[in-house]
Amino acid sequence: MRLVVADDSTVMRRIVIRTLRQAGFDAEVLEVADGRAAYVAAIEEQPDLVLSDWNMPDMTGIESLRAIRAAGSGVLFGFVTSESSEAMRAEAEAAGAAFLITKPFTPETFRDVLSAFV
Amino acid sequence: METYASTRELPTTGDFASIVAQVWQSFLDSVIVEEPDPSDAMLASFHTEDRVVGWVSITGDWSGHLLVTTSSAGAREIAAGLFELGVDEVGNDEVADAVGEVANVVGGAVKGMISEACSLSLPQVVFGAGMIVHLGAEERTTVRLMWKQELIEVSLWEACATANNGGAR
Repeated sequence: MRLVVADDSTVMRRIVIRTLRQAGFDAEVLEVADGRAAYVAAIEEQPDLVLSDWNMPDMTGIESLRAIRAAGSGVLFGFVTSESSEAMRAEAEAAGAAFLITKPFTPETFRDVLSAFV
Repeated sequence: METYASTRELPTTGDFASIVAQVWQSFLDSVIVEEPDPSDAMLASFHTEDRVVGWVSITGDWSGHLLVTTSSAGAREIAAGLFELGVDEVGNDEVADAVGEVANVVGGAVKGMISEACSLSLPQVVFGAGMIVHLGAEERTTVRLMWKQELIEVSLWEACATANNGGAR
């Protein structure tokens, strides 16, 4: 599996990657630190999955997702975010996100959510 | 000073302790416990000029700040734990990233308990915060927890128009 992990926090990218491994997912990971880089990586690298924070500098996660879809990419995209209101979930779904995982998460959370898609 | 009375029900210290415990369990595989009555020695160690504060601001139909404060040693322990490095291997970049992300995750959960019609800022971190924190806000809820012999304080401050006590303590 080829994966893009987008989060402006280095330690959160490490935690996401560590948790994926603990959940049993073997992935080749490209790390990016803002929404624009996530957009570029999604278009140019055509990964199997983008896992993105919501709140990031230089394009938020939702702005990045909308740009990805506007560019014609149907890449599997999920949010990993500290916020999760019903309004955000609806916004994410409307923009084409497959799921939203709330921080803090566990390997079991990743396994439960991701196994339906990858 | 104008008084400010919030009618909104805010998270309790128990809610805070529960949120922080979840973060520690999930990301540090560790137990953190509430310390309602810290000793004088603990407080002396905590109230030093080298404190580290990470915070996120909440804006919308409720506005304020969620602060995570700990000693320099406590902040290094958090960074070492989250990065899975030794305490001697983490520098200020790792400490700032780690403490900011703890504030971000706790702040996201707290925001969700206060209002859905709010947004969360990117986290900010200040080193040597003993003298410089001033937020134009009033303290609403504070919980103190103990981890690796260090106090970690999580507090919620509500923005108010005429606060003149700031956040400096």
